[in-house]
Amino acid sequence: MSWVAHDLEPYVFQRKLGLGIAISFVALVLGSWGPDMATKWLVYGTNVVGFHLKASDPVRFHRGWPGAGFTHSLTFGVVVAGVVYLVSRSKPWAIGLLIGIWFHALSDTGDTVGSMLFFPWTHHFSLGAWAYTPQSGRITDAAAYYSGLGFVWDSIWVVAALACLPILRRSYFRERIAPRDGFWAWSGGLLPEDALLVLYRGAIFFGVCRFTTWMLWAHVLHHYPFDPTWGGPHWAHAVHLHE
Amino acid sequence: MDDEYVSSLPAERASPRLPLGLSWPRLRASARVREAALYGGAAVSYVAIGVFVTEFALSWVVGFSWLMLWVWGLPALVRRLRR
Repeated sequence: MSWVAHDLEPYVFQRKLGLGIAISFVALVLGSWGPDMATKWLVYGTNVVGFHLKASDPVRFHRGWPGAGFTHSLTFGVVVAGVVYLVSRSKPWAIGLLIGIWFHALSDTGDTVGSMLFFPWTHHFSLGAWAYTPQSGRITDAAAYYSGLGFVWDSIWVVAALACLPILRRSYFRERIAPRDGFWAWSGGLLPEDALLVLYRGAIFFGVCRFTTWMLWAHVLHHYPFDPTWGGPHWAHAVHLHE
Repeated sequence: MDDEYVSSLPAERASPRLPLGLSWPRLRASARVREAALYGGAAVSYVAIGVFVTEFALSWVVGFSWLMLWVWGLPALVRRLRR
């Protein structure tokens, strides 16, 4: 599982791919967030109108089958992109969702559970670089992720995203982002350009700030020990494929 | 982050008189510096709150709203007050 990598990937891809092919930036972000938006709240548990909702087997629900693990597959990206293209005939949206979902699924192969990239083939592809710990709850999961190699993975994305600052300029937004996506024309009827620009920059703000917040929280406020070894941190209970 | 515009309001509009003969401070920072300061303020306050209230750091809705409030809402409010 990756944390802020999913917030920052869209900017890196926009910078690398945005000059060549038309991609909807909004679709990139939604695709990058989509698999977890559909599942995470039930993995950690949530309160809805006084009822606590939580998957009985969070790991299987999040990444496995039966469960919603298919959302973390390359196949799911193809299906979502295909349906969106058939309905909207928008290539930028279809490509954006495809790339966003694909890279979410690929970056989640870094942990000890991995993802079923080629669902319905239920084989999990996993590098096992950092511990998968969401079953322990949101707080322990954050502490473990930012103590193992997860923090290195997110650091790489923070650096890569900060190298993309030129694409955050107003001129880039006007020339490359807004004209390629009807979303901005529609939302431009509701909000002024200054506000649209804030929305465009929102995910990088959220990602970089979240990274800083959790690092401070885990290592300055609570002193969780760093363990950037393969599969670590080993003080946390990591779920592995055979469990 | 961008330099397309700079503050060029007429002095009277940029610094209207307040009751009791007071006036708004005349800060003529460039648009780029002002914008960077707003993003910086949003980031520092978001991190400072998020460290102690972790729910704050987890929600993208809160994150986007916070940024919107600082970078767009705050200047809009100040402009309105100055009119």
